[in-house]
Amino acid sequence: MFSPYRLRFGGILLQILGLTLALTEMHTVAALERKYIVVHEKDNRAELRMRSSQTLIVDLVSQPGTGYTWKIFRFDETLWKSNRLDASDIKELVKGHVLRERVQSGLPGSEEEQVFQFVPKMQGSTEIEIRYVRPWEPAVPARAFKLRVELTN
Amino acid sequence: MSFVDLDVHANLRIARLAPAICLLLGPLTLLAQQPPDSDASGLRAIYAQRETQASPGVRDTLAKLRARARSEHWTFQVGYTSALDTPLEQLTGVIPPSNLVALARAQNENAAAILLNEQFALRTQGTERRSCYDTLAVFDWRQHGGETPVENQKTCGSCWAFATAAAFESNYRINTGTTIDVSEQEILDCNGKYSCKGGWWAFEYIKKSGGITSAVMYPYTAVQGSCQQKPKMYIEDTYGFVQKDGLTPSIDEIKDALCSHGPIVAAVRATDAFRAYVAGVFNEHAKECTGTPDGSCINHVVTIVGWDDRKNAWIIKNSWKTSWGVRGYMYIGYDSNNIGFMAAWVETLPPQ
Repeated sequence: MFSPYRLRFGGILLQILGLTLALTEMHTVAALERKYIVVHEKDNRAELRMRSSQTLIVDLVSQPGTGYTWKIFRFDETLWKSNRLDASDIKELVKGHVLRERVQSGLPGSEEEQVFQFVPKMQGSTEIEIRYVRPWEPAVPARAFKLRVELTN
Repeated sequence: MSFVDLDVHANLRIARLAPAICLLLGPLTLLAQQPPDSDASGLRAIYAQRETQASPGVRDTLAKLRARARSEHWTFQVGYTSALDTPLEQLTGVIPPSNLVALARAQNENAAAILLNEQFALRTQGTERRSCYDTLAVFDWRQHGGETPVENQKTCGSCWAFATAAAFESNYRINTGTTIDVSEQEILDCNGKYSCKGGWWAFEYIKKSGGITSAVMYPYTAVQGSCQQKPKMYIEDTYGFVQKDGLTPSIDEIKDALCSHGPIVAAVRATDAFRAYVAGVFNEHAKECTGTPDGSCINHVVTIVGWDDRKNAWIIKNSWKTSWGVRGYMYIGYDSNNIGFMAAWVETLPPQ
């Protein structure tokens, strides 16, 4: 039997479905047109393909109070231009929603963010390695972050 | 080799039509369920609605804020925003302990009473303290029986535990002439509050737990574990803050504390340049600390062991092994990188 209540309930479901599909589409379009590709330590040893028009952001966590810091150990200078971003650059990336805002504990010894930017110069296949080291003992990294990247047109 | 393709090339023709259809049909049945207006009055209504379900703590906070708003003639309103669900320290940078000023004043009063009662000056007059005067151009506890080995905290953010232990050990050595090695791991495992992700001085923990065991009994692992009960071998008398409110003290206040109690713990901003220091006087004056509130830029804790007026610098001991800096030590400019924030001293008791 026809019920206005059922119709209303069905309408809610239909709208939820519509919003979900709309968001999925927006996400896809964003991926196609995305300017920045962001990777984190959980992506260690990943292999990724990106366009040479895109910028790679490597977002890593360090604890400055331990003496350790992330240092670029290996990357192909013919394929990339790289630099480490400072706090104001990171703020801009957060403001532009490229990076999510990270809550810091605010204690001495706590975690901070270290962000590296890699801008492709041309197409090619390459590896990036960033090591978590104390600058005065670079040969003994506590951790390493590696990424294999294919830069396409 | 297979690559993760970041460009998604799915066929979305049907998907592109479906949301439009659903979004058109859906609202026809939902006319009775419009959301509140998104203007200011609408937002106020949302906050008011949230407030009816707020916890007693949030309601209490809002009541106090509204009382201040009335008495101080604020020209803005307050309400139950989502920020009230987040502790202030998570919204800001560094977290000094809650009510730092009150804590520092109460603790200093308490410590002064203890030391007076114990005739502290009399008890300690035979120690190396007699060689320390704040009028000296140079004083270094390493040359006056206050040195203890430089440690290595490794990858754990336990600088706060190492600095606590270093000041404790130096004071014990100055008081008794005996070198001890207390357990940073006990502090890390048992303090109940802080971890490898940071913390503040643990003098309160050592005092309340009746002392601390040795590093031999409870060795460092650089990972926080469950607290193990070990015999308390070394006893704390009391501790205090160098500056009455727990903030960054003056040069004279730090010198006076160094002469009275031995090496002191202090916070600092550790930067890339700080990590890369090998010699000389570190005078970076980190930009993160320029024009910011006292202590808001610090991220590390060290021990101040002396000074050199000719260099305008403190001598600090770090916990990054002897291969860092000058055998584990650094000269740092008196006002560089907010060195000295929340500086604190400790007094130990001789064996019973």
